[in-house]
Amino acid sequence: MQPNDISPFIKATKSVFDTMLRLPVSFGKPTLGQSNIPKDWHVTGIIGLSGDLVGAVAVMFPRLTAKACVEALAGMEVDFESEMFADAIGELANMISGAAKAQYDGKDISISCPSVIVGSGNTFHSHSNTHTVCIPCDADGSSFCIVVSLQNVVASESKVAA
Amino acid sequence: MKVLIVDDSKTMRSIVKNCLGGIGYSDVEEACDGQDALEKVAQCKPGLILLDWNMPNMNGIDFLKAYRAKGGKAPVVMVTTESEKARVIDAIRAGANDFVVKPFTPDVLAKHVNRTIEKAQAA
Repeated sequence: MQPNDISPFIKATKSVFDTMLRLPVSFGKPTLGQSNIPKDWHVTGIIGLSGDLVGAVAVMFPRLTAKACVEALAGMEVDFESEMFADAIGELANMISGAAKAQYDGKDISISCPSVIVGSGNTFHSHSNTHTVCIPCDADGSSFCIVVSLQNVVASESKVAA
Repeated sequence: MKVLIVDDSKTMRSIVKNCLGGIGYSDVEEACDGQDALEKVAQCKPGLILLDWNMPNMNGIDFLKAYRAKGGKAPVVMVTTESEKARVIDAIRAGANDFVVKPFTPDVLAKHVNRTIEKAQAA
């Protein structure tokens, strides 16, 4: 995976948080591989990508950050146990993936409906033929991260060109 | 005027509903996918439809094609993350009147809704 492969996801995250949550986001240094993916965070929204870009995008939050982000998006108090909590996390993952996908104009990419995991102890494992990047993020002093796991984009482009 | 919001996300339906309320459209019906929307349009005869693209069961474009094929005349604004040129062309060919890309601000949604309604009333 090339460094510019993840820039659409950084731009998309910034756009979604600025526009829909009105929370400024800053980004730490992205790391390649799975070793820096948090293992004890509570909430994960996942979107699958298929077509010219194959893989998955996960948005991972500690419990309280997830609640703050959901409430900023929904504009109201949202209980952890409510249907709207998981729904809002899924919609966040959907908007980030969709806004990133739009920056690959000319490519035919489909995104799945979101899946959401709520509960501690879950770990993100990517497929063996994907490259995974963890992008640390900070929204108003609270950490979360975007995990982008994609099949080798350069190889895929060669295949399409052939 | 009744507005039908079609989106599988309850959160997004709530956000859109609040935006509509802010510009005076409080008579709102909701549907959670294209199939649900086909049933709702028959019951509530909306004057405007705000339509997501990616939904389970029946997606927004399949709903739009079915709605227009049945003679549905209400203007349709797509509210979606699908913003690539090819998708916009697909939506317009299927009968969409306008396009709002997620993420959006309330002002942007309001502008597109008002413009779409004005155009429909002038036609």
